[in-house]
Amino acid sequence: MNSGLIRLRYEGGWLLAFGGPIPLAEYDPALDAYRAPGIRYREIVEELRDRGVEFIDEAFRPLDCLELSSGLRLRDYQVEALEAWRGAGFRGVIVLPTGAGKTVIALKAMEELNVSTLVVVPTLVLVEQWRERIHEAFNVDVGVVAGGRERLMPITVSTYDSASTRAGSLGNRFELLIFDEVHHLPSPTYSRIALQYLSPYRLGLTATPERSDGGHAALLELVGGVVYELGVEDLAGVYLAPYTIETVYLPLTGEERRRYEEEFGKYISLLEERGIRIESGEDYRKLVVRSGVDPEVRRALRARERALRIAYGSEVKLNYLRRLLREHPDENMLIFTRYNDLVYRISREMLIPAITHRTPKAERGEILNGFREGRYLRIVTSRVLEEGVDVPDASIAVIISGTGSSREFIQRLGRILRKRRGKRARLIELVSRGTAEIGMSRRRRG
Amino acid sequence: MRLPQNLLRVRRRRGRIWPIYASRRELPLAELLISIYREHIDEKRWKLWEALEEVEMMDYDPKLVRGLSTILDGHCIYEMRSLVDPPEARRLVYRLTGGRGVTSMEERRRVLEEAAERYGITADDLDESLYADLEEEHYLIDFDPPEPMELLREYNLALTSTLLTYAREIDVHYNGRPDELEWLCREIGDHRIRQVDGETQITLRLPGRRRMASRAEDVENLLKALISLGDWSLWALIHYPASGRAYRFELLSHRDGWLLPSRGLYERINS
Repeated sequence: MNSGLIRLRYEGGWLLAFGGPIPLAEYDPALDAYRAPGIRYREIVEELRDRGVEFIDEAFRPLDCLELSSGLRLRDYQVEALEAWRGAGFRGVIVLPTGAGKTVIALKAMEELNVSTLVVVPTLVLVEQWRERIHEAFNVDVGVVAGGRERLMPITVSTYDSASTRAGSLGNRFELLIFDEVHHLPSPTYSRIALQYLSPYRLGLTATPERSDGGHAALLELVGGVVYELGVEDLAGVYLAPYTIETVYLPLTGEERRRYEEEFGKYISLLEERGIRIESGEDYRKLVVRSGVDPEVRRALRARERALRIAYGSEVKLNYLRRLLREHPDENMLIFTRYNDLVYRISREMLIPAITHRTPKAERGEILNGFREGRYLRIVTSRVLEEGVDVPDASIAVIISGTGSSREFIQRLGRILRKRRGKRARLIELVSRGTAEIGMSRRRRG
Repeated sequence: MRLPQNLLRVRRRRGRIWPIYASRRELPLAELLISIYREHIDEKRWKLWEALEEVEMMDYDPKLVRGLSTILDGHCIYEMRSLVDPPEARRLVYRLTGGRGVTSMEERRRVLEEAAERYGITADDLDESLYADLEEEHYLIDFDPPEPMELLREYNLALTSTLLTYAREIDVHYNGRPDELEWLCREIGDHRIRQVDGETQITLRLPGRRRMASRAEDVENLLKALISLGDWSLWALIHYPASGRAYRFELLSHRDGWLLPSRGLYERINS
């Protein structure tokens, strides 16, 4: 065993110790060094200090942070959230509904610690929104590592993609990591960020921490557990506009019902023939994988897809939508549906502006502005308005379909709630009675 | 031509990797796809897509069907057919509804007629134009069909290029010393050239951080230049993205050459 002074170094996401053993590390004979993932840095250093072991830290080279000060004031629940995070050793996840001011909490966290900080966000749009907010709050230059741009500053904003590919070189430069929409983190690629960065302080923000694949357990390890959580119900009427949820169950037309039964029946009979049980998302994913090599499974899944489309885009639902349009001629209405072809069908039949991921940027901007300025009172859209991007007020949101994911549901809900006080928002969900869709709608509530 | 990563078809075993090439066995599929494209000249693209989906539902590997259609798309010209600028037409009709949309067929018809009048076209033509800019509404206006075997070879070339996009190191050996290849290698990155008994041997290291798109172009050009020679061999170290591990890949003219487009291709493509 080596003895003498221990030197810590950081290489390619690993914390390496030369000259002697450190806790929580494995010996790597090729390097003649002890090796631990970056995330262990804080524990290791604390442990070494506790034991009185002398070491030289050449690993962590955080950027120098200027004095941060802002005039931001927090609401009561935001103060509580920050206290809870502080109490957990400046680690952990704060769960608040969309529109409840997660960004402000993050800014206060930066101000309090006053250390170099990397903010990690899912999209380029959010990169710009965050940089603006940080600049407004502290009047400092904000760095960016995203979309091919790289300008490193004590406070820098990055995407999950860039932060994970650049882990080897950025991982030892920031003391505080802030993950916006932290439910993205537990994926295999993105969790690298949490595992490889040395950053001792970590804050995760989300409206919805659960992932259907059980990734929330991973969050505990990667960022720290949920330290504070408030739901929409806790805030509605106080800080968020009051809202109502109405679920409208509608029948299919006779012809739709017949086609639905026929298509869905094909799917069910394949499951029965093969003795396959679908009890979880995992079971279903396995079936999809199998469809790649098994044409019968492929045909069955396609029949299921056709059946769901019939249920989603039922003529009865579209008539109900027409009725809502007539009953609320002067109110702003957002119409959501999962399928792009249904978006375009509604756009075409009802002459309503459509936004999908295929809408050119200029047209999308024009439609959103038109909606904000009152030129357009309705938008029909698939899924591009997700993830906290500022969307204009709407007093009515109609959901004509859903993917069965509770995350999506709450975020969509959060979006129409992000509005001025005093108005009553309505969320109206249109569901086809007696179809597989009902299970999904219930699952979302649960 | 490069295929999307999710259409890559490979086998891996004992540290080796090789593409699942299309061979004579796939000729009936190639013929079927070519005839489907031919039948859809002058049709909207969504009709073609539907027909291709039907093929996927048959007993073929859907990745192969999509890969071959990707190649065939390269032989096609698609075009938007519209009498007016669709986004502008949409803006106009939205405005004419007062931003409220319409809730009956009669109301819709009135709005379309009013808008059409301003353009001096019929309401039906306007209706057709509203979303003519969507890809699925484009028309297949021209199709230059390849021979079925050529289609398979082009596919195999694309498959190989796609795989080589993930190479960190490539070794090529060939007879003689055409400048073209050396020049290409110089462009691409770190390389070493040796002459052994009239054979040129180049070892090429591909920079890890280059953008995927430019990398794909580099390896594709290299591959095309190489297979236009008579006698060659290629070895590569592939960092296969799905597994994160490295594999050896081997391609030899005398064994695999017939699976790839014939000689002279490089000149044709560059002309």
